[in-house]
Amino acid sequence: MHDRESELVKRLKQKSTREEGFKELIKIYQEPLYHHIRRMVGNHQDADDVLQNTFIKSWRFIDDFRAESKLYTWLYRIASNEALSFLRARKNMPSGDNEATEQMPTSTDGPDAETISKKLDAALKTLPEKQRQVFDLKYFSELKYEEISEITQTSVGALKASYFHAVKKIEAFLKSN
Amino acid sequence: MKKENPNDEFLKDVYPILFEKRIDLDTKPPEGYFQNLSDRVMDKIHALPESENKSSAKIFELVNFRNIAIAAAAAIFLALTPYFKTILNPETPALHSNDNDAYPENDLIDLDSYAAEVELYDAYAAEGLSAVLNTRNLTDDEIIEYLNLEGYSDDLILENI
Repeated sequence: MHDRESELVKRLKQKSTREEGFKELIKIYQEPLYHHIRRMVGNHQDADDVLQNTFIKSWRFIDDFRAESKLYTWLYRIASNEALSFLRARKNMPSGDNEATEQMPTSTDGPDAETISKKLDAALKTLPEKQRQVFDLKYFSELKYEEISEITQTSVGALKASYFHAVKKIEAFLKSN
Repeated sequence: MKKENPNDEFLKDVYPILFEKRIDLDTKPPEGYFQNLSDRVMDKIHALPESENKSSAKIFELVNFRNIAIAAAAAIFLALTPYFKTILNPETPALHSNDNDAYPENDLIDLDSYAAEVELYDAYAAEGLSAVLNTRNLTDDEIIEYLNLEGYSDDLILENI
């Protein structure tokens, strides 16, 4: 993966092969970035906008990428920042149904996976944006703390604390619902 | 179910349900979404204005130049701070050669009411001399010797004897 990535970076740095290399970059990273953004912003339409903005921004700043970090952590960083900016802008907009509240499914047979999934989705929406971001990168994207540290420019210790608090809040929410 | 993440051991202790179930949220996009995403993105990139489509090297240079300018301005300000201090606080005592002017607003001190230094000195000398004369029968030489030991000048002594 590392060789493939370094090869891709070489193509992105050369103007003659940049466009072709960038299309390949999109194909490789579109799915993980889409799911990460979608979990942050909550719906497909907004996720599509943010994802496209992410790729456009990465195209504009590809010359700034110095390969000191991995390409995907750099992309994740852009995607996370774009998602956070979008959430802040949406918060300041006149209220509409920006994030539709999930209906709490009820079941007498105990919680099944779908029920827990929907409840977890609702719980995540109650978290502060940064905590939601950290939880998503750790729990769903399964990145290491060191990688998340690069993406969020936060210390590993602070990330562990943030993740811990996020988990406790989710636990409290799920137990009360 | 996802594979176990060795980094997430603590989740097992904190909230086992999340660890055991490894829940996935439903984030499936519409059918065919990813198939033409790259084409749509490239179309948008090609439609960007010339200034936004260029490489970011220029922007990077501008940002650097701005940072350098800010750092230079801060350094100049710090270097000139002592100069600004003296301009803004001219009435510092250390800058005045006449110590009397160092306390212009002290109402307790009325410098004009003070006698001249020589007059004070004379008064004390006279007082001291008369005190000595009143207590003992001393010769002039003894008096002069005593006063000399006390630090009075010969001129002052002779003036008062």
